[in-house]
This record gives sequence, C-alpha cells and structure tokens, in this order.
Amino acid sequence: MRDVAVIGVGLQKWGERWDRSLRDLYVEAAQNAINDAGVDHIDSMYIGCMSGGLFAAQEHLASLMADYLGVTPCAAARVESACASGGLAMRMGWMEVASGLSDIVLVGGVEKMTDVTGDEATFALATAADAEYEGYHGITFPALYAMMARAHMEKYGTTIEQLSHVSVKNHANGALNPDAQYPFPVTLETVMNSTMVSDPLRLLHCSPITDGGAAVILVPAELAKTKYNKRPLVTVAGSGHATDTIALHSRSDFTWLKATEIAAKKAYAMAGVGPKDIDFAEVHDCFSIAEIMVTEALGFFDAGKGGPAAEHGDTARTGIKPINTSGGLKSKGHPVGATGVAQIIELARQLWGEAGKRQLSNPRRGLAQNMGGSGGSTLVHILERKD
Amino acid sequence: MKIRSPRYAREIPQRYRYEAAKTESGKIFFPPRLVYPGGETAQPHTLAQTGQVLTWTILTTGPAEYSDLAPYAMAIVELDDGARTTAMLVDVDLATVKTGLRVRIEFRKIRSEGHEGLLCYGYKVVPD
Repeated sequence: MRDVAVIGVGLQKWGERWDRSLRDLYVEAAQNAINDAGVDHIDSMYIGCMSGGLFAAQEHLASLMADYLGVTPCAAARVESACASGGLAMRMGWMEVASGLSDIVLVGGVEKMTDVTGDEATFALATAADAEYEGYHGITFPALYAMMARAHMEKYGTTIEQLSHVSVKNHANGALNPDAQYPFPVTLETVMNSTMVSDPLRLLHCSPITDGGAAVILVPAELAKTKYNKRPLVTVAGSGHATDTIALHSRSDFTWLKATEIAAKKAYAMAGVGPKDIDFAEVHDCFSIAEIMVTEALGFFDAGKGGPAAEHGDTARTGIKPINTSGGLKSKGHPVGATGVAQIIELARQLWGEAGKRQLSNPRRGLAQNMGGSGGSTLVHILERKD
Repeated sequence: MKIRSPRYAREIPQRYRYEAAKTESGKIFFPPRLVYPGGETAQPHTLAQTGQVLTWTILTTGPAEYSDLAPYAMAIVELDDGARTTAMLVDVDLATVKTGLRVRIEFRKIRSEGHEGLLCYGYKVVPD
C-alpha cells in the first residue's frame, strides 16, 4: 500500500444557501479543491451524500456530478453511511490511491438540506435510525442522543453545564472560521436557556440544518514530493472503519460509542500511534453529548471524564487536546455528506499552517472522527505532517 | 413517506403479537432475523409484557405524523425477559418519567397515513 497525501482542499461558505443547488455545492467545492491542488485532471471521484433522493429528488450523483464538474467520462461513485458519508468517501478515495489503482482522486461530500421543509428534513435524517423499530415509534435524532445524554448523566454525573461548554467552545472556534454557518460566539447562559428540543438537549446543543460541499485531492506521497510540493507533505497515517447496531436499544452500553472505539483502534494501529500522540482532532459533535462521548471512545479521556474535560477547557484551542478548531458541526454547520470531508480539510489546513486565526502552534498529527446515526457506523482518519 | 400495506403487514406479527426469537445462548432478538450473530439458530419467543425504563427523553417536537402528541416521552425499555426495545411512553405525568419506572406494553394506534391511508397500530408502554 502506498502512502497517500492530501494536496488540495476546497469548500464554500456553509449555511442556508438558497442560491446554490445540490450540484452547485459539490461542483463549487470540487473545483476549488482542484484549483487549490493544481492538478490538471482527476482519475476518479467520490461523492459522500446521505440522501440526494430525500432532500433533492436526485440520485445517480456519480453521473450528475461528473457531468457538471466537466470530467465525464471519469469514474465516479456516491457513497453513503448516513452522517459518516463524507468520512466513508475519504476512506474509499484513500484506498483507491493507496492500492495503486489511481494517482489523482477527488474525494468530495455534499448535502442540500434546505429545499425541503423542516419536517421533511427531520424525516430524511431519521432514516439513519431503525425505520421500523425506532422511527415508527416516534424517535427523532435529538431524541436518540437525548437518551444517550441521560444515560451518560445518570451513570457518570455529566452535567448540562458540561454539555453547554462544548457548544460555547465550538462557537468560539467557529467565530474565527469564515466558512462557518454561525461564525459568532455564544455564552453559556444563552446555550443553557435555549429552547428545549428533547430533554435534556436544547436547541444550542444540536447541530443545524446546512447546505454545503467539501472536497480534497489525494495523490500518492511520492507524486506529492516530486510534483505537488508547494506545501508541507501531509499524509494519511491511519484509517479505521467500524459498524455498530442500527438501533440504540440493541447496544450493550448506551453511554459508549463502540464503533468509534474500534475504528480508532484500527487507525491508531495502522499509524503506529496512540491517543496521546494526537495533537488535535475534528470529531462528530452532531449534539454536544456526542463530542463528550467521542473524546472518551477515542481514548483522549477516561470513560465519564469527557464532560469535566470540556468544562475544564482541556478541549479548547488553548487546551491540552484541542477538539473542533473548525467550529465543529455546531458552529460550522452539518451538511451531512460534506461533514466528514470538511474534517479532513481542517486537519490539512492546521498541519499546513493555513488555519488562519484558528491556527494551533505547530501541530504534527490530527485525527478526524465521523459517525453515522446514533453511532451505527464510524470512520476515523489520522493525518500527519511528514516534514 | 406514507407507510403502505405490504410494508405494514410484514411487521404485524411483531407489532400485534410481540413475536420475537431467542437464540441458544438466550439472547432475544426483536424482530426475528434471517441470520443471528455467531452462526446461532433461534426459536420463536413471545416478548414479556412488563419491564422497566432504561433511559428516556421528552420530545418537544416530533416527526410530522406525531405532532399532535407533543410533548411526548420516548423510552428504551428492558422487558422482564431481557429483551430491549424503543417505545412511546404514554398515559403518564411527564414530570414522573424516570429511569427504572415500571411499565407494561399496550396495543395502541401509532399513526395514520393521511386522509386515505392506513391506520397504523403497534405497541406503546404505560406505567405499570
């Protein structure tokens, strides 16, 4: 297997983009990545998208996006793993370059969520759960994560203040991200007094509905060194992938994200590192409780200690383990299929020293964790700066 | 998306009669499956009708088809035979919902598919 480098990235301002269609969002991000990388062609492309069908009445994204990107007859594939679709696209693109099959692969993700009503969007998102044994009985995604939050709070004493600190931190980071949907800080009081959505989760504990696209260009490290070397060399050191039960009620422990633990262990093993060797991470804060649980499953903090760590500032930009310097899903936005790819973009920018006002001090190794549904699928990638 | 007859009819053994399956090692699967983990086989098993709340939430807004019920409680329940499932918790003062609450399964209307569509039934749980 060859080492694979990220050489270019692209996205656009995320939010309620009435002016952009599903195809516009993908093509714009892809073109930005192609221009940023300086490649004159691509060998294949991936499109992470949870549901072009339910949000935009559009499937067959392989054909559509290759056509509108102007690369027909390029090979293309749309991949889906609910909210982990982008991370899955990254893994597929990485595999294609690492295997030697292709030299230049475009990994992209997109979701167009505002052409439908709020009810229609809620329905589409709920298809990431068990349609017959969870959805049929009246769950929503806030409800599923609210039940995980309650179990975590009752088992470990995690508090609503600790959950709220996650939202405050992510907004503080997102305020420095020009592409973020909500680039402004919020106070702890505002978070804790926001409208109740599903007890105990309030509006500002929940990531938003967002339109957006994101793309990266992958090439073999050897090609990056010889031809695409205007930036420091950043390679994929590890990739891990795991599933868990579709229904939350089938999990043995509602407070533990098993797929994240397993995918992370695979990625750590491939990279030859452990949790303490990760300088910073982008994680899937679909709800504030998710970030807390993920930091535990990744091995950054012991089980039950993710809440106190967030409250203590350990995961702030200035903390010992910066999490979601991009602003996370909460502040940056969560166009479902694009999220996993945008995490890779933030890792690359931090490692290249191009993260602007969010820049960390000389990071060497970052981790991206992207999960689908209530944790039923998870992708973990580790990127390293090699020079 | 409206639920239509074939999809609804297939789930009737589970929604009306609580038909599950129990493997050799004693694990209960609801619904029964074509394949069980570890290559085990399973025998028919009917769910216990009583149990307790393991975790819960109260939704302020739910999916469109349930909007007339909001606010409502959802729970993951563990039945007395060890089976676990997700259900709406009804006929309860929302302020009294808690982990460990004893509940029983009841046959209830779940939703209706518009003016001309199916009336869909299934299980909810109530305080026992």
